Amino acid sequence: MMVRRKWSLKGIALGAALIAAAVGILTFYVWYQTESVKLGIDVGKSDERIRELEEGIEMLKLRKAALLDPGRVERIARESLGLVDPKDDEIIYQKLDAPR
Amino acid sequence: MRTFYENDIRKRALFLSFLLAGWAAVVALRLVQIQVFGHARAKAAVLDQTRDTIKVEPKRGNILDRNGEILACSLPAASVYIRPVDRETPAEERAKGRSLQDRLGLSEKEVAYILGRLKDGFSFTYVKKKISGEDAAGVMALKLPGVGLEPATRRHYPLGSLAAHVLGGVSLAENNRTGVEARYNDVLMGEEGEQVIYKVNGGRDYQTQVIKSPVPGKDLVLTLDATIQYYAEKELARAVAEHEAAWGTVIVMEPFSGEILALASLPSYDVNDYPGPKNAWMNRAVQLSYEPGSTFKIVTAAAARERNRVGFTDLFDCSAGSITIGGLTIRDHERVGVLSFPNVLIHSSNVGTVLFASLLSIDEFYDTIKAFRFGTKTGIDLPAEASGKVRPASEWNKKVSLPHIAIGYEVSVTPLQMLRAMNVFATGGLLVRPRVVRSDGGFAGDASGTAGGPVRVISEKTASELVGRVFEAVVEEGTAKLGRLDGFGIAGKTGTAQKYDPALNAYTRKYTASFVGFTPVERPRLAMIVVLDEPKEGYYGGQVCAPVFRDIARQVLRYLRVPPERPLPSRVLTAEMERGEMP
Repeated sequence: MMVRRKWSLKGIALGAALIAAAVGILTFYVWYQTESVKLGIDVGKSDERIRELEEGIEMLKLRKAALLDPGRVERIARESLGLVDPKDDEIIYQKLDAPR
Repeated sequence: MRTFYENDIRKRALFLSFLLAGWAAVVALRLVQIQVFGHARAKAAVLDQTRDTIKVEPKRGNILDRNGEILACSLPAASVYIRPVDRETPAEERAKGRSLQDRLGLSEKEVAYILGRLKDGFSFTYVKKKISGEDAAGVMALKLPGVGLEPATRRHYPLGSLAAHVLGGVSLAENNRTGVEARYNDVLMGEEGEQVIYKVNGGRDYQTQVIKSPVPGKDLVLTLDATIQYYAEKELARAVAEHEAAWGTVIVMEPFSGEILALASLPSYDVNDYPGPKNAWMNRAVQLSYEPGSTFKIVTAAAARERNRVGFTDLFDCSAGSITIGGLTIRDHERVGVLSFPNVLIHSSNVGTVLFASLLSIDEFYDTIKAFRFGTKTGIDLPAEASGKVRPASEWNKKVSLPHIAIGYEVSVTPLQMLRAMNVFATGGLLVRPRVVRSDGGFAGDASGTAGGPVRVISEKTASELVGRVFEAVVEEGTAKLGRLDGFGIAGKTGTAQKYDPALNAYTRKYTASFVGFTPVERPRLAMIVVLDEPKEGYYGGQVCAPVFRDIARQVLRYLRVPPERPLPSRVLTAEMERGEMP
């Protein structure tokens, strides 16, 4: 004759608590892992952004250097702004310690 | 007695145990099959998947001028590569090749080469090296399997041809370089990194992982000043064009430190298009030697004065206009009469120079030439420097060589050697080593090799006397009058050397004109040489080179804010009138 075992209320509660704890731990673990991966991706993106900005800085430095090309500056000064070299007697030299 | 329930559990547990044991046995057997019997194949597969380790190019260091202006830098670029894809048909490979051809503008020959490599089973082939970021993005947008990008950098020179021969340049493949790019390659290049390429998606695609990050190269700070370099190149280009010269060169140096402020050589090239046209490759300032002619008289004068063989009041009869020694006739460019020792040099009389040089012995003269380090490289930190040529005294013709060398023939020098010799007078008798990289250039150690300070060649007295009584007067009243600069004294010497034609075994009617000097005379800030080869429309050094010196010096002295050392001439014209006379 088959006899079914009867679960006590205490046993069921304990089982439910264990399952809940296991699910909680698992959920925390999954959340932790997801957050870690997300942080890793964010760090990667930030590194990439830093690299891009550094490249941008380099490009701007280069652009500055090209814009300050002495030949270009002289051409603009003479042709666009109509500037001319001062004559020797149009330059006043002043000693640094002389009263101004 | 066991209950039915206990028997049933027991049976089930037994069944489950057998099932698990069977599964474990199958797994174990499979592992043995794979790892023991299939070891060789598995190893080959792993190696095939990860065997390609490719180098990651480091970012090359920047090259800056003395004020921190960028002369050379590396921009991000990418090299496109292609790898075979498993189970891809030749038709698919060809289609891929066409897509890349359209996007990157490849030639038929290049496409055929790439397809040939794929067919032959090469695991890695460059499609195109160092393409722009835009092109790289375009290639990746095609999403072609097996096609990838390798990070790289591309050299860029924002000022184009400025200082081309000092910078040199780097070829696209970076296997060919010259100038400081070559000389300081170890400092600039950094250390290569490594990355491994993995096959993914069953060999349909690839992924890379950097296993060793590259170390970027160090920056290099040059002694050049971009603005002074510009002045030098501008005025040199003007002179070369005006006189239709074959080539020209200008070097501007700081007298006491030996730092080169500008070095220009024409013809030149845009460093971005390195190596440029073949006739522009040579840095004539340091790689070419020539017979200097009269500028070499500064050495003859130093030898005679240092040994007190000639006084400043000694007179030399140059009225014949020529002198013949050992069958060699040496002529003056004009009849100059009887001249004092200073006037011999001020008017650059060959006859007078031969006469006072004859007061020296061959050994004495040779010793002075060697003291000035002619025939020896200056040690400038640029590659392929020429040493010039000075034959040993034992090989000199006993009658002809001394007078001939005294006026600057039978010896060959580089423009830089000649400048260094004149600089001895600017520094009061000291020979300094020229250099193009600052010793505090931002890298460890003294890579420029400036070890060893200045060397005394002649006494301070000899130097100052020759400067004050001879070389300054060369510009004030002598052969370089066209080089006079208001407000500043210039000490210098002109040279106009006839060119020797080895084919004819004779001197021709072609000339190399030069002027070498320094300014201001009291506290020299610049030493400079200007050389023009085969100038037309006037060929004397004083005519064609001294004005270039003056024009560069005027701009550079203003730029350096050097005040005039003497009063500027008045611009107000005055005239006296006799009493009662009508204007």
